[in-house]
Amino acid sequence: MASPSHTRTVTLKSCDDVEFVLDGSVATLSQTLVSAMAEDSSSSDDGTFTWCVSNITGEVLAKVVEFCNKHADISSSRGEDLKEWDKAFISVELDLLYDLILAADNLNIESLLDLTAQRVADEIKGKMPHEIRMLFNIEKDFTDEEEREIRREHAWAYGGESLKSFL
Amino acid sequence: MGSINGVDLIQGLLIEILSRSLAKSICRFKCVSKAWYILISNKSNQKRFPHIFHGLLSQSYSMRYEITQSYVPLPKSNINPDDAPQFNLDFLPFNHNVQIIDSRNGLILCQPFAHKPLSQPVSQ
Repeated sequence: MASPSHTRTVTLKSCDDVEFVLDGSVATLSQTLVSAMAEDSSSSDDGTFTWCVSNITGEVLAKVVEFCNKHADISSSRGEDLKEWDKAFISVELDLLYDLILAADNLNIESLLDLTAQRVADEIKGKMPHEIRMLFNIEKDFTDEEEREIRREHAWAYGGESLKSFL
Repeated sequence: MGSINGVDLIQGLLIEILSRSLAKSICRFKCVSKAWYILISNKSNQKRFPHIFHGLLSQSYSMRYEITQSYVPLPKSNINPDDAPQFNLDFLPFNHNVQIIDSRNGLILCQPFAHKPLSQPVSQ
């Protein structure tokens, strides 16, 4: 029988073979790890559990571990202080932000998913479709006429920008 | 590496992001690509997004100077009639004859009919 997840030590291994050791209580922020530990019957008696995250690099995983350590530390993570900490934590370049949101999804860490998704939402707020395409490297697959038609249907959402950005 | 793009961005993540965006932005993003258009127009996804303009409040006066307000859904709105917002101002202290003076950004300015205006925006 495996030990309860919060008493175990978890080793996370990134796709480029960087290892991080977490307390079980920290690892329980990740629903993916909780499920994996619950299903793991081969667990060693010394209470260690190793999990390889195949698509997350060491650099990104280091940030994820930093986040989990902070959020699992109840004594230091209260209210406004934690909000400030989160704000500083998520002030990263967009590429890293995208990797973090994917990692949050992969490891199913709700609070990190919330923080990263909100940051992307803030990033795209007020942007025009062509700016979104540029930001996410999306190819435009509507014809000009199709785009104009959709804009006509939702003219209120464009306000005075409608013509300016389209011409 | 920009691992999120229009093709391999996991749909669920895009929904997570859009559910934290403004209704106005989401409407605009329908033009981004066909994939975004389909995702945003999907009715079950829309339940997670901020509410988009779906209807109007109508105010009418009877011959006996009674005022009634009602909600009129737009024909194109995706709201199921059963889910349409119920509109009433019964919670106001002067609930008999309320007149809507103005509205903006989801707030309405009301006054008891035939009295001086009260600057009391209500949101419901």
